[in-house]
Amino acid sequence: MKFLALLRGQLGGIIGTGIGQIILILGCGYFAVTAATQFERFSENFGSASSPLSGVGPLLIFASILCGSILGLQFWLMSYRRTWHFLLHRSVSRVTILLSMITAAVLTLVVFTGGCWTLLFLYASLPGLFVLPPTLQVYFEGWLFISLGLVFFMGVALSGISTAKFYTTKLFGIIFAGIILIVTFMSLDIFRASIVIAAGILIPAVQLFSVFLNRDF
Amino acid sequence: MHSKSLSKCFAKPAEVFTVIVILLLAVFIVQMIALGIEMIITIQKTNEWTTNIHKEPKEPTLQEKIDRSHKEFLPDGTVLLMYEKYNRANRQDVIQIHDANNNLVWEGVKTYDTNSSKYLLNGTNEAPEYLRWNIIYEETKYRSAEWIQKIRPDFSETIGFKSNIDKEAWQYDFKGYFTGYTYERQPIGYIGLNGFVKNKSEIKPFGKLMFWDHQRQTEYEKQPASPVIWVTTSQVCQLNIANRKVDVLLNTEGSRIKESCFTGMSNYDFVPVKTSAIKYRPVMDFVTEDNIHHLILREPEQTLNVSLPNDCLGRIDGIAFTATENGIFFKIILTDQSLSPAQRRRLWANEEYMKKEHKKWIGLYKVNQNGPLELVSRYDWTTPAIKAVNGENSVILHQRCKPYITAFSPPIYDWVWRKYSDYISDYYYENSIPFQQYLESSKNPGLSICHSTCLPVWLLWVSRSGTVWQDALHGES
Repeated sequence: MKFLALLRGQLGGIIGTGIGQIILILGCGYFAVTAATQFERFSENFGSASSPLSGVGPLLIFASILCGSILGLQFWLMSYRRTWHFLLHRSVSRVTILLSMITAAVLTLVVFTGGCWTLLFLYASLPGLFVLPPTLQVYFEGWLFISLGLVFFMGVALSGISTAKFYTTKLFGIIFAGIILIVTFMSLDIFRASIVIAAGILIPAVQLFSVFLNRDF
Repeated sequence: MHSKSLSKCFAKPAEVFTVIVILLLAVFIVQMIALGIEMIITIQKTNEWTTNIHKEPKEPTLQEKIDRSHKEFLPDGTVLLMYEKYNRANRQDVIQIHDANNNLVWEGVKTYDTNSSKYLLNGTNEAPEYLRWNIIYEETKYRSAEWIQKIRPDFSETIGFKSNIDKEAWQYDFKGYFTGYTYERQPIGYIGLNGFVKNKSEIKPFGKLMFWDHQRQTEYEKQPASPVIWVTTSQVCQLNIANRKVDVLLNTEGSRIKESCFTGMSNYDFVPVKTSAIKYRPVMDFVTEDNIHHLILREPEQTLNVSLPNDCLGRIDGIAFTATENGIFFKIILTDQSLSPAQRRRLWANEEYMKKEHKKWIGLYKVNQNGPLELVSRYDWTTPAIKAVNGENSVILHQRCKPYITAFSPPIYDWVWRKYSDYISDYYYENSIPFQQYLESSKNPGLSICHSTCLPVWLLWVSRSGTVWQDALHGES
């Protein structure tokens, strides 16, 4: 119950980010898909072709990273405003508080960003819109892009609660997330990219838990 | 164990890993920048093009001329040495063709015909009609399954076929078959190795796709939808999706195909087959891991396997096939030194090899259906050693810089060099020529350093998906 109460509180604070995601992805994504219908080439008989949702890909990456970074920024704000004590001085464990924050971030990305992505995918798959519909692989790739948001959430959060100086290791969380972003697109296939992203989430997450549990912030 | 201690137990290695990754990236970037600066200095200091931009380069020696010449053969086996030099005054590529005794046979200029996308030789009289060969086209890799499936910001691509006449579309599923449906998304059926089937359970998938290519030459051009050569790891098929037909042209029985060359069959064929007086036959060459060349010929249909002698395998510097109405030929260049495939690929960076004089020879062989290979003609020459300061040699300065650049981490440097040096040199020589000329004319070293600093960052960015290279090569999605 305490966890749910905390989660509700967290979600209440970030609902604006979610609505922003819906406007950004559905609004721009719809135009990108509509534009793609105009440019779908009928002249080539046989060939490799970009996905009908190719215009949505960069948008999805941008929106996910933006969303993850905004959600991670709350760790920075609480450190700057020195409001951690108010949050931690409750009858709930630190793990519950951290889990509620992470769950809120995951839910925002899954429900808002992921929901918009699913809607766009279903729209692009409608008969009559494209001759070659988007493949299931593209749908999974979209979810990988969304999980990049979680990578950045972890990175920004870790940097936010780090007590190190700016010129030492404080920003390493964010830099690490940036490296994961680059390595993801250097990976050859969806499987290797998934492993890279999983590592990009787990490695900062372990550090985040350790810092949080050991009161190192 | 207490949860706090447990979290610390995992967190410390994770933290160390993060720090190492970031520091290695920093070293990587520093090394890329150093490599960029070194390349600019190398080019400016050692290249006659930049140091004596308005002067004609020094005339090469006869030995150098012979080494740089393309060795071609007339159908009767006569060797021709084709020497190409750029005339700066007229901005033309001058071609001189000599015989084996260094007598000038023909002289003219090479021009690019945009209509036919072919290079033409223009002179006062007709250029000798030498044999044309198949070449490995690098573009093939941009039609490879790996490339198409690669994850990129605008998502991976798909392979499909659309027919506006029949209003049907076929989409390749990387499980190994095509799924067909009408424009209204009504299912039609499946196409696999066993051709067209109605039910998914009956489908026999193709093997793992390596690449595909069009064939639009000769009689196939007349067909409404050109067949596609579909190459898997151990099969070569001809697909005619419009007719729902699959012909298995080659099955290598599990031996993996590692290379292929097309001539007279590919859309990217720059060989002037049609205008030639020699009647060529379309030929495809697929080399398997057991070093057997599997030839598929047309007009008439024929398949042939060619095995090269084992003693020449490590010494091959180039091989190409062609087929005319008079026979099937291949030319092979061999060196006196045995090098591994990796060494051979990066020969220009192999200082030990470049510094030594070495012998080469080219042979023209005729392939008989069942008999042994017949040597028609042979030409021997000596490749001169590369001098320490040579206008075209950047190896020496690179070797001098290497100890400083590798001071931080030799393994990362090796990786950078292996993975990105080709991108850097390609980019520098091909994509930035106007900017490079501006840098050279401005004589502003600060700007050069700035350029070389930005270059690695830009390269990192473009190489993340490679779409720039694909667009540059194809101009299509």
